Amino acid sequence: MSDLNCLFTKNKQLYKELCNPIKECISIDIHPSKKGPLTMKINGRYLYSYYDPIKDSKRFVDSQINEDTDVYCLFGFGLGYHVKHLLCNEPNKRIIVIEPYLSVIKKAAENVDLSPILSHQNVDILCLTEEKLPTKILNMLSNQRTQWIIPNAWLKALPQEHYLKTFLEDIKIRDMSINRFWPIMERNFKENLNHIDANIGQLFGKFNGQKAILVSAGPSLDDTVHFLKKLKGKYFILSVGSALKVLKKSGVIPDAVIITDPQEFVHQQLKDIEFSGPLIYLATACNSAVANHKGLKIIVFQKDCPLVERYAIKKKVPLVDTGGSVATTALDIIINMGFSEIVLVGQDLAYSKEHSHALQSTSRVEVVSNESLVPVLANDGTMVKSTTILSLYRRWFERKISQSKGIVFLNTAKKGAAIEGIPFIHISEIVSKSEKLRECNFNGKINSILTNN
Amino acid sequence: MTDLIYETQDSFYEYITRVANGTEIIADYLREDKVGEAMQLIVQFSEGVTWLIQVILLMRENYYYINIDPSQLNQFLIEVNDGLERQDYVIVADMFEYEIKPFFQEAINFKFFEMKEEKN
Repeated sequence: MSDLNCLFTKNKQLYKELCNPIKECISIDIHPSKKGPLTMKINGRYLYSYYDPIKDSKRFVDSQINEDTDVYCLFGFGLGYHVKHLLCNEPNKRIIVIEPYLSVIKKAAENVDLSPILSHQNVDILCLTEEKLPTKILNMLSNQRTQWIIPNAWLKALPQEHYLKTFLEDIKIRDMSINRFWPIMERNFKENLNHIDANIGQLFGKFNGQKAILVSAGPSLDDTVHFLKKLKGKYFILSVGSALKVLKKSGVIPDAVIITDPQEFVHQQLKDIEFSGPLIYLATACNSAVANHKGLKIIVFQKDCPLVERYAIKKKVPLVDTGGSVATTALDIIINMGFSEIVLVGQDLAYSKEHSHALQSTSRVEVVSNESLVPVLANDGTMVKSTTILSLYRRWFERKISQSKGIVFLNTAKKGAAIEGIPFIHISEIVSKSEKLRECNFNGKINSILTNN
Repeated sequence: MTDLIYETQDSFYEYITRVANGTEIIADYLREDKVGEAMQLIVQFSEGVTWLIQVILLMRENYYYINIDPSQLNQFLIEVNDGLERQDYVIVADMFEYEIKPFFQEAINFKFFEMKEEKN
């Protein structure tokens, strides 16, 4: 139905590829919706409503409009409905459409008149059939204010093994999380600025040659927590908020606690624990937890949050990669603090014992269904259940570790998901090796650094 | 006992109206990829519909009937759950907008009636 010739002058490469025979492993089903206009199914999943695809697309696109953006990067061409609505909403902005399948564009062109989209000067269609990420384009996008539009349905229709899947999932989950909690995050940010004793950048590079333990609240913490007492003073112990109760029960006082979540439940993690050491908190973290903390309060400004970024750049303080979870944020922080060895404790990234967290953790839930859980390789060679989001964090760990040369990373979660680049070690070995280490009063050191800064 | 029955019926009517409005919000959230927000409401929907089914069945024991089929309500729960397990949010949004919402919009008009002859 569409005249592909309009692509000839605009995108010769795509034109040529569409004219040649296409061999792709994909199932495409286009049929009329209940209302009349065509709807589309890819790999057995509807991309648009079966009842009213036009209304569905419009509502989705309307929710994605961001006046502050320079470029829209839309994943999935489909029948062109999203691009069309985007052009109506933002006629003067550049729109890059990423489509992983040539067959989708070809089939769409056979069924719908795409000429106004294909010939539009602001629309560029990238058909990424090659098995590599287009680094040039991604760099260009990262240098501009880019709004990614990744419809969830399209992401789900992409096979698990597709090379774009994890890349797009990372962006989507980050965006969904920020969008969901932004009103609370913004309020927390404004309030948290009143509680700054120090910023985390003041501690960066001050712990060179020393060793750190990052304590998370995964199920394996129940097996390793009693060893931590012996490591106190030898390793800098940084605990996530949800693990604090577990540590307290075993008589372990961490050298610092970190919180990042904006929600009120974080306050419960610290309540009644009587921890008065340093609290490292994300600029948008739960304000009541920050306000009620009795000890030193150290703020962390995060990347990918425009309001926070602008403030930090103005104040000339460093930004931290959050990676989406408290443990990923904590890892970036301790890497920047300069530690030469980082040991992960309770970092399961999987539901190792049919539970999400350690026994006393404030975040513990029982795994009641296997649905949507994905099997992953554990450190002991068995398979354990994980989730999309935990796998996303694992990939983040792997990327971060591959970029952090000269640091030894070790993981003590035997039944936890294996993280590439972090070998497993039994925590008793860490204890044996630590006997030779010099003791350090980490709290004293932090106070002294901040006083002299 | 009769007071309790009437109070429960009033709560039932009130809740049916709220469910009809809620289904639209759930569909909107799903269309906008606000899955977390939608899931919170779906949990409430599921609990609410379970309560509606219980009320219909308990009313029957007391010879009060309403033109709402509890097995249809149960079927909605099964289908929503099935869609959620497959993470097929387009299908789930379609169900809430085009099947469940019209059902409840119609159900707003129904009232319990007593079948006196069976009571004797």
